[in-house]
Amino acid sequence: MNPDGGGALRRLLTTLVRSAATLTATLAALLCVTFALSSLSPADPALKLVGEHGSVASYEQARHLLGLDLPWPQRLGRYAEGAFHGDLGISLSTGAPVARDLRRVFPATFELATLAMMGSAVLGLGLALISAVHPRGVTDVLVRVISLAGNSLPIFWLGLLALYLFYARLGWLGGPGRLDDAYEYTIDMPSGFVLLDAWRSGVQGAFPNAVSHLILPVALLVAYAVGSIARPTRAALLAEAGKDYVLLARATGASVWSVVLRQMLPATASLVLTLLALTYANLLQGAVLVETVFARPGIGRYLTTALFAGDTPAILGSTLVIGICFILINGVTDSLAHLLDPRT
Amino acid sequence: MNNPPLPACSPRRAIRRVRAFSPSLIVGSFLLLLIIVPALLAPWLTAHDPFTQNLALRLQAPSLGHPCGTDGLGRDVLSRLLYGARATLGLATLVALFMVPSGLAVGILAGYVGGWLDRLLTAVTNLVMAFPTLVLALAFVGVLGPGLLNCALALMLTGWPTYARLARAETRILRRSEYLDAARMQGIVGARLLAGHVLPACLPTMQVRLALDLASIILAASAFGFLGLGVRPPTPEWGAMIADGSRVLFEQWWIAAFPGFLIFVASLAFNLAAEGLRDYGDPRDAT
Repeated sequence: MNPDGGGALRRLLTTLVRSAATLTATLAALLCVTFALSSLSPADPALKLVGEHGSVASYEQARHLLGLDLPWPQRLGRYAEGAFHGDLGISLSTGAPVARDLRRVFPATFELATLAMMGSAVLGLGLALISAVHPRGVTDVLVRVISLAGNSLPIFWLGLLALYLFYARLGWLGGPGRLDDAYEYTIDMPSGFVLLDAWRSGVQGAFPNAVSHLILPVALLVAYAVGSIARPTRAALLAEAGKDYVLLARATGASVWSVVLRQMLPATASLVLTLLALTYANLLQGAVLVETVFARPGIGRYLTTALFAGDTPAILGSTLVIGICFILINGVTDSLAHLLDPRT
Repeated sequence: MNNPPLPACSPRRAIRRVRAFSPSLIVGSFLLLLIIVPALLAPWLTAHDPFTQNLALRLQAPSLGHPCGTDGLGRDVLSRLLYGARATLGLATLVALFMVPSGLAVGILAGYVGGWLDRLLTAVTNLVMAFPTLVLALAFVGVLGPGLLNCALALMLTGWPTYARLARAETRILRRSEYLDAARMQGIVGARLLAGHVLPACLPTMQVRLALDLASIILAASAFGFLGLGVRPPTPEWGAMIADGSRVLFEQWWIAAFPGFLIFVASLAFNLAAEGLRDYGDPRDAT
């Protein structure tokens, strides 16, 4: 590799171009998958539109209006064009455009996943650092147990038990929903972020109520994600610990924590970044089940409601949006990690 | 990792391998037997039929007659738990039976043939790996209709790439090895070479991955059941039982608690087995 600035710039550009190409291809493939699913669906959208008792002529007209009489490459083209302009079809159960529904519910999921992400990043990295500094200590066992439990517990079941214990039996925390009914129907939700809207509404008690409804779902997602951050980070830190530069730094008198924080942690930065992104993307998926259990109006609950109702446009629209976020988060981080550490 | 497999183990090595047998593997296998054996023997172990409804005895607390209580239709929860294991384990087996061979075939072919085929298959593998698998599987079942087969198909379609990637990596290591040259010199070529000499080398890394995947397949399968996408009622299934129990959660919490606990045990068993297999390790890594 050319050590001068031009080489570095060229590397940056190649990385950017290559990852942009991969991202575009992946997103296009995702679009093809959702299109294929919509074509494979046994439900007939034209029949749903005209109803069981519509005439043959109106059925044919509906098919023509929906473009169902076109050959599939043209239908794919129309579908891609529509998706590009934010047209994901009309939800069969709410009767509103899927894109508008999704815009309404997306902030809630973003809020939940982001709070859970921050919690699990702090806790996961903290646990990894402590257990790497004291291998074979209590924290080591804790990290192992947490990650085993996180990978083995059905999250929806844990959510139900937590609701039973902390809401029904002890009454410490809020129950299903994002707010108590008293607030849910009196507060405007202009932004869709429940904490922000409850805060700005100025209604007495609304903000604490929103917090008490958020604690359980966030805690569940954190418990579920913490192990997948802590364990690989710990392993990477321990692998670094055996290297010569650590020995040298220790020999020059640097304290254990200063070596860990200032030299070993930066050395694993690319891995940590990838892990955090993967966790964030997976939290978006995990939110589907958690939102369903806690009846929180987010994209996950929108998806599961659509699943119950057999609402194909809503199912595929939310799949597409979750998929795009997932692919973008992972794709962007991959190229960032590559820039941080060209070896990967 | 880079050495081709050794033809035989010395006795000393064999002893070390036995000693390296980890407690995780033993506990995991034990838990697995604890789930599988009662599921197979369910007709002889249960005093009640899992389908018989008795509305006079609905929502009963655990008692001697019904050790896990009865559900909303007065059916014995314990019988349904034992029979429900069949749906979950059956699905996991079905998925594994198709997912692993197809992943192996793609990976070995890509790694051995190389060239444009390798590039094409690797691109497809990476593409599927970049997708959000759980949500995509949910959408698949949601659109094509609920049922065990659609669940299995969705999990297979999203699960194979890991195996393809592992198999490709192992095959590429072997491709130019003297081990394969020796086989070729004896006239072993083509499919026989791939199946008899390349495939066995891929298996050790597979088994850890498979155990981990089975744990997550069990969780995914029960999530399908919970969302009403799995087997049709009244067939007992753990996830669907949790969904039933969640309606009376605040009064009769045990109806949801028991099936969830079994899902946890089944998934934990596979995760522990995976850890054990990883500790036990690839014999080629033994130093």
